[in-house]
Amino acid sequence: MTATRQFGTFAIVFAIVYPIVYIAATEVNLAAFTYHSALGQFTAGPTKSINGPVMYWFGWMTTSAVAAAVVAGIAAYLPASLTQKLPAAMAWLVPGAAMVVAVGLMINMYFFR
Amino acid sequence: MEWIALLIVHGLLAVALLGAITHQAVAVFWPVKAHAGTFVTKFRAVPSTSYVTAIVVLYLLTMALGAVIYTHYTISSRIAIIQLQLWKPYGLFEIKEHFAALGLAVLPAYWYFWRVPNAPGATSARGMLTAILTFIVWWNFLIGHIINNLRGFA
Repeated sequence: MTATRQFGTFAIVFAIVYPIVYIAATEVNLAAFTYHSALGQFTAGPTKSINGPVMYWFGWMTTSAVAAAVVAGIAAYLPASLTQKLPAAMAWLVPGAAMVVAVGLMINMYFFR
Repeated sequence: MEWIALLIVHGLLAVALLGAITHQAVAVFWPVKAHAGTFVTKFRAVPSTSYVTAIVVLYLLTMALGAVIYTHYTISSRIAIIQLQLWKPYGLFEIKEHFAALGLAVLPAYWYFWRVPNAPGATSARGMLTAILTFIVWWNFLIGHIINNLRGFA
């Protein structure tokens, strides 16, 4: 029962933190690593192109997943009296809002050129 | 040649995921009240919980394969799309990329609220998380096809 409650807290907090960090990571480029697709090479952190296109997407997801897992992992071990007040709705409200923000950013970037 | 094979497998996984999540979403938002024999009623009457683990696994597999193909896309199709200044399709694909990444955020909660139906707020959270995943899967499937068909790029 405790493990189930802890996983529930982990899942809700993960769903809250990941999208926030992901949107921030894409906006200020907080990629944990960069993939240079023409070379098939990885470099640590957000680095500029060595030769050909660079991919930050993997790095953004890694940054978001690690940050969310750490925060959610800590939250899972907080007392039940604190975590049971966490609204379940946040698990879909925050990701849904992040999707709207992502669409807005992409429309602004590519649809009015 | 191997990229085309990967793309076909990616597409087949996406079809399986699309079918599973659509089945589940229909069963959640349009449940049957009584058993009947029509195709549509049977489509609506699936046991939604049995799809959960399969959907999570299919999402991860489809995304992992898509991520591998994405590395090739950046050095082939994407360069041509930029040179042709096809910014709207390019932007649509960027949205697909972000949606796929944001879908990862909801997978643990989606699994939890389906597996623990008596958790506080589970009923509405289950429905909304299923709706979000359904939207992401449909968007990514359709946009993937549009980009793939765009001027014959694959």
